[in-house]
Amino acid sequence: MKDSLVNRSIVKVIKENIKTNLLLVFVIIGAVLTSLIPPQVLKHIIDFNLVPKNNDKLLTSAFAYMAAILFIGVFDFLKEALITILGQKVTKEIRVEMAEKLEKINARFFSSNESGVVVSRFTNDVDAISSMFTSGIIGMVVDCFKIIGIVISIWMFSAKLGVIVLIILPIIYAITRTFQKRMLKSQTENRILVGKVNNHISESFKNAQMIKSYSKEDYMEKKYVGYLMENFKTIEKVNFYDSVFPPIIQIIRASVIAVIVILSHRQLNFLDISVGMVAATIELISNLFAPIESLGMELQSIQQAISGIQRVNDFYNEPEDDCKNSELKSDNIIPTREKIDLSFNDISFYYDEGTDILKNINIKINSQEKVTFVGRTGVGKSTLFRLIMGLLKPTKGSITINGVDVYSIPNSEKRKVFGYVNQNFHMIKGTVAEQVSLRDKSITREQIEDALNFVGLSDYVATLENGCDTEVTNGNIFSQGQKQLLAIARAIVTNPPILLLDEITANLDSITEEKVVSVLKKAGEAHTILSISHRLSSMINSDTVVILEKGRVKNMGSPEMLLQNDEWYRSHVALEKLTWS
Amino acid sequence: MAKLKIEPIKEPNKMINYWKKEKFVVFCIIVFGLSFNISTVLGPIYQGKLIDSILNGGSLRTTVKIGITFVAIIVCIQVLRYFKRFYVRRFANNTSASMRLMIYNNIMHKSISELGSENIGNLMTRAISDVDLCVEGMRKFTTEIFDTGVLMAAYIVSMFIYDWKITLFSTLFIPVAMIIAEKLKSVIYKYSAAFRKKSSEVADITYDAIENSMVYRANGMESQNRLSYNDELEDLKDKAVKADILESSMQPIYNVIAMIGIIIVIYLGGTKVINSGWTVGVFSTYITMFIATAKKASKASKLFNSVQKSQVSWKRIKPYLTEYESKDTSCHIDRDNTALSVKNLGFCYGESKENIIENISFEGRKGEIIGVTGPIASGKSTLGLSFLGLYPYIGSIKIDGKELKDYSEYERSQMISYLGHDPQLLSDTIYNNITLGSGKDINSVLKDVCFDTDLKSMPEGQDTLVGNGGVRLSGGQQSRIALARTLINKNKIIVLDDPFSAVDMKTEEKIIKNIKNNYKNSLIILISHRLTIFSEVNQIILLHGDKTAEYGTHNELMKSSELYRTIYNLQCTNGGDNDER
Repeated sequence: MKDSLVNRSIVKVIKENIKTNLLLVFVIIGAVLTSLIPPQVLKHIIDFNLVPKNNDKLLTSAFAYMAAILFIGVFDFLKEALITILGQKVTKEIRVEMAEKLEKINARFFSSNESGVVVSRFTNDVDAISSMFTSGIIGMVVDCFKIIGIVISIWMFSAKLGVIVLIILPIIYAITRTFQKRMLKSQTENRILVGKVNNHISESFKNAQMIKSYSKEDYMEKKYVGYLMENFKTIEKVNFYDSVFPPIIQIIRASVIAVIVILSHRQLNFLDISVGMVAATIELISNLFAPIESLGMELQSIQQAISGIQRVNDFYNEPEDDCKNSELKSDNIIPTREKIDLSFNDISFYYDEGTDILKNINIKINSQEKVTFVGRTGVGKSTLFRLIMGLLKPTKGSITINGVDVYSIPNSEKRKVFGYVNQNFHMIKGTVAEQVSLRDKSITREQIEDALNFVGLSDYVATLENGCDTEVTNGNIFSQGQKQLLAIARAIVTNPPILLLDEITANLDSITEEKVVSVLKKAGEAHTILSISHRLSSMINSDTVVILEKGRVKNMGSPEMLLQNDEWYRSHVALEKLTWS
Repeated sequence: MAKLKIEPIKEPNKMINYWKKEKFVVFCIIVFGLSFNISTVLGPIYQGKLIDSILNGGSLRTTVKIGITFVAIIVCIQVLRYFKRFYVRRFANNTSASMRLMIYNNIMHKSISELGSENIGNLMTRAISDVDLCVEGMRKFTTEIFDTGVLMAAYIVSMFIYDWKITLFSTLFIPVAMIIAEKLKSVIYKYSAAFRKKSSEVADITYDAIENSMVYRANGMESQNRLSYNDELEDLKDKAVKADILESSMQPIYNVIAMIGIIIVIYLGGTKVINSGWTVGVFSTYITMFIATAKKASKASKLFNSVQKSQVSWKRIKPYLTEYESKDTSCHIDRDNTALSVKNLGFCYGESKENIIENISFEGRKGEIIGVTGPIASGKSTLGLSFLGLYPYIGSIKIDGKELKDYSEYERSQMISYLGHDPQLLSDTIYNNITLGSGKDINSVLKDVCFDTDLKSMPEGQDTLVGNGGVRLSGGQQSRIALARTLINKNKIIVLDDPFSAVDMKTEEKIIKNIKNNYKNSLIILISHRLTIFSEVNQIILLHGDKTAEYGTHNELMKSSELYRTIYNLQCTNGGDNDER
């Protein structure tokens, strides 16, 4: 845990906010000390005014009492406020660090982790950590000080009384922890059952058609009630502990008070304290229970946050991409579009050792060549594209453009080299123009409009409420085909020499498909195009078709040649033409 | 303890009914709530008497006696408190269970098109979590009526009895604190709403960054995005700090205001002791009561907040709280004979949408197998789905002379069973997944789907858990379990939509043979793109992408349909190449 993200963030926040920290320390000390004053004032009033029946300075004492209350209020307020501020700073810092990590994290991370899960690292886990820091650790410190303060105050009245308190302290703590542990156990059980209930609900949704078609609503409801009932029973258990604990604490408190009062009776004269001291002790003892109780809760919240910390730190330890060569500029790699030499130099790739996705691929692609990759699903076509863009590093070999390893090209330059379109258009938050530019400030308005014009979307976009600046709140303002055209606009807006098209017509009907293809044909004049598709091979007149099988190049050549000598390709093309799956 | 049961409730959309339903529990809450809170005043009174007993120089025995009485009283009070707490929680538990049941019932009886139309799954999960918030608010409200309302009243009345003048003047500030808290409520609400809005915005941005990470990375946008993300985090932090400070740090301030009266209490009360109007014990009793009242008042704002939150949640769940429904299970169907007649059938999803299939006509009777095939998106699956009767159709589907839509949903489910691409397995045992509570024997049906051999390797046999969505089984096993479920009732019409995509050819042939032999009383509609099995079926419907159709037996279509012949031959040469999934 030493050099973990969480630790570093907390340390960083503490270092950067020395003044706030000092103030917090001062405020905590102030809050602890002032909270001890009212019982002392009360003791003074009783012993100095009430018992001897002397009203000298009674009003002053009353004001002193109120002043103490005022300071307690102010210190408490400041304490809460400062803790909130620090806590939020920690939250922010952890998130900033996580975002930084996200930028460097290996592309594989995203294929093996669902977005929702990763988002909950950023939200739920970070929230839990920050509340552990504030109400957990800081709260614990405050409570410890409070307990110490009370013990010292009582000790000052009478050493014997102090010893008594020191003896009962661990007893109360033990009782409290026993209860809290049992409660936590039932709560954990309960949470598992709540998970079952929720799972049943989402399952009922997913399988709604099946349930309805078999008229099994009743059966599902019975099962649901069964889960609810189990859940219900564990809640009753939690309820029992929850209901019984505060009364027990109150009974203990009353017993302690009664014992102390009896012990201070003159006839016994065991404690040898004044009536004022007895009254003050009663108040101090009453104040002792609250911090003990919260101490247990704080311990628990720390324990619970540990799994969150673990997860965030695991995220932080995910493998990162190697450093890029920041001196590489697109203009230097590709001085002119007419001279591109893209070569795959004996590359192999696997996610897990032993199961190769791609094996010994050797291909050379020249400027403005149109190459189509075909093969069954799962043969590694999309992985190949990620390798070409340098998002993944080949396990063996390298992919080079004019001799430069693509993996070393900095991400910020990639857009000027590659335009990438895949079968699902990823709508981002923002306006239509931002869908194209991806909020890249270096892209001018003119470039965006040109790109939209090129794909033939200008007229449609002009009909939208605010034209290019219409906020895209849901995907519905664009049809499936228009989304694909928008994706092409996004890819060509920086006019990259190489286009990578991954099954881009897979979700389109034949009419929209034609439109997309005609745009691509237009683009083909000035681009090197690599595509993954069956049908596109014939439609955009590929120069070369590469057939992949089991991670290797099975066959490669012009479509005409393959139609003649590759039986699989021939029947495949035939079935595709008939749109038979 | 009362018996635990979860039952439907009438008029669930009125909140008051939840209290009415739990008459006994609510009665207990009232009895224990009143008795506990009223008797609570005895605590401080006896605490005062204890102090007096040592001050007055009475015998040790008296003090011990009072001490024991004090503890005994506290024990009684705390027992009452335990029951109050327990019943309040029981009420919350019952209410939450009824609400959950009602919402579930509501969901399960929505029509399938309603369920599929929007992202209702998410809405519902949110509604379920709203139940917790709402019930939590109801619980706090119920608790606080007694613990704030009754208790404060009891204290104030007692204080008036001790001295009405002191009480009148000193408690003046308590309502002031409450009024300020109430007034600040709207300000707090504004800030916390701003925070919540920002928080969900940031969550959206986080989701966007992670979901589209590859798009941003491939376009080199990550670092620009991160900078703006940092700004968003900073803004979120500021909003969180403001909202948090207002919501949770203000309580000490309210407490200070409510406590101002303590000056009057100490001065006037102290003077009264000096003038022998009060004893020191009464003085301490009075102060304890006053402090307790002030503390309650300062926490009243929390009550306001929780009630408000609960109202918001209630509004969100209210639409789902409708009268309890259950399916009519009367059944008038002819179990011995089956005659299906489809005329000019058309089908579309939603009114404004295009027809997927048009003008389909055919007939069939029990013991027959009807094959349905066609290219991608020709409407094969749609044709199968239309027999479920869950979606509206055009034209006529008559079973035994009666129109499909004129049968009740229950009758349809008893006549037709349907299996789609998705096996729709529940996270339960194999046995339960097949029988869905009918209690039938599944040995023969497992043999029909060739699962008996698979079962031998499973130590738990039929009680093997299939995991969430069936993950513990292979794809082929999943679809065969789903097939067994479809077959087990031997319904009049069995629709199988491509059930063998994950099953190898040999098993597929065996299963088809079993179905042919053992389900002679059923009419089977088999949808597939693999034509090899179609030589065995009675008639074939070949759907074309242009919404026309050809009908005939395998031999007839081989002669008359060029498409059918081509595909059949291609698939034969292509061998197993087509089982990609």
